[in-house]
Amino acid sequence: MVAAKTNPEDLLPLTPAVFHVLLSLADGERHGYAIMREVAEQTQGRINMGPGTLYGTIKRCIEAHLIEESDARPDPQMDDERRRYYRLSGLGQRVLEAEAQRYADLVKLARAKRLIGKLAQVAVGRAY
Amino acid sequence: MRNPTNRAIRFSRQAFHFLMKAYPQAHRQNFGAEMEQVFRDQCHDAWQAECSWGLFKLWLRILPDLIKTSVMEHVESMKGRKSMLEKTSALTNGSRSTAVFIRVFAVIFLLVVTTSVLITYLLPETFASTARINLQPADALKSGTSYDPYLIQTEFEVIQSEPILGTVIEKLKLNELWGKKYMGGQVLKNAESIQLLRKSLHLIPIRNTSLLQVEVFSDQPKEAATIANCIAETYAESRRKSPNDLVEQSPRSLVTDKAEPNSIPVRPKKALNITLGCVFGIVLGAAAGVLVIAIRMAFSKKRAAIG
Repeated sequence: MVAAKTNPEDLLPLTPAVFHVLLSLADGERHGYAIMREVAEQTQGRINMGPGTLYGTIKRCIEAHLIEESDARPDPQMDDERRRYYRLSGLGQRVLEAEAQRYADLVKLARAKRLIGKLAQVAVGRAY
Repeated sequence: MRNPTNRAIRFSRQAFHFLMKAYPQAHRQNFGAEMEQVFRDQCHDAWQAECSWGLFKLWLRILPDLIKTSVMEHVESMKGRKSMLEKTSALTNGSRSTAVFIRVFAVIFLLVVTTSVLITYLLPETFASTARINLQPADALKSGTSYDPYLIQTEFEVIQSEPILGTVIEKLKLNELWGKKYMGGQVLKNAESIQLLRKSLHLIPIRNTSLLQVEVFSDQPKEAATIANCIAETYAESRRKSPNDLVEQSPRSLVTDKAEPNSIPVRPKKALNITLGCVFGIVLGAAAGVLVIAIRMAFSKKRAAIG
């Protein structure tokens, strides 16, 4: 009920840790370690969360009804049954979409101001 | 025979289990088991990637995260207390403050000491072996009286020169040996081995004597002694074999003491590291305890004023 009434815009902007955790769950359910690895892959190793940051973020996401614990196990035979799996809630999905849209708008703005083009030119200049 | 992989990972897991006490009880009950499981997975991955160096790097990442997030969780649990009465009574009660101070002090002290112990025991050990050379200037041998202020410095450079170190590398086949050790079997180039050898070599003059100490560091005691002896002998030999026109100008040298393998590592200095860890733990623990009590008191005053 709380989740249904909450406006996704009220929860923005998300912290990078929350955004990446939600993004990693966009493809489906994952357990903690799989979320951690997915975030590291998404960011080319730039964000390497420790267990403390990961479960602190998961706890806050659960409290904000952005994610929920899943009862189902994708493949119990292949995985440790003691692991807890998490999935995006309806609100989490809407918040993630809103945050992604916010980033897209920012990128659009940066392009309009030719900031992204300038950065690319600087990078090319440094390479030579 | 005990498996070093299991031993290092088991030790890390036990240390992490102990450090979990830094988190509030509710957080531990909810996520403790999962956090330990994730840490176990990280340990296995780190070990597979880079063995003990991987574990060491993992701990360097985990410890700041653990300190930061445990403090955050404590602050959140404080905010989450249900009634104002509970908050103020908890914050103004003297005995409660002492208990909080002791708890914070104990957690920080144990964190710092555990870190220093972990770093000390995870760092690779380094052994040193020393050979001694007696250096006699040629003029001194002839006349019995001469002093060359540049003799020691010159001979230092000669010992570290490419012909001497190159011969040592060739004799001991260090290109192949170190290639296996550091490059996964790929044979090192002479220049690379010379660079490594110079890094592990330490030359010390012994004051008021004509003796030179050739000290070599290695992760294996026998290797350190073999290299030290080989450098001393190669240098002495090169002096004996000097061309005739140079013999008069070259100092005579003699290996007086051969290097023996030393089974006691020179690095890391375990006692010193752990003592420093204890001292820093006391200082940081006391500072953190005082800070937490000050924050709690400021928080309680602010809430009381709002209330």
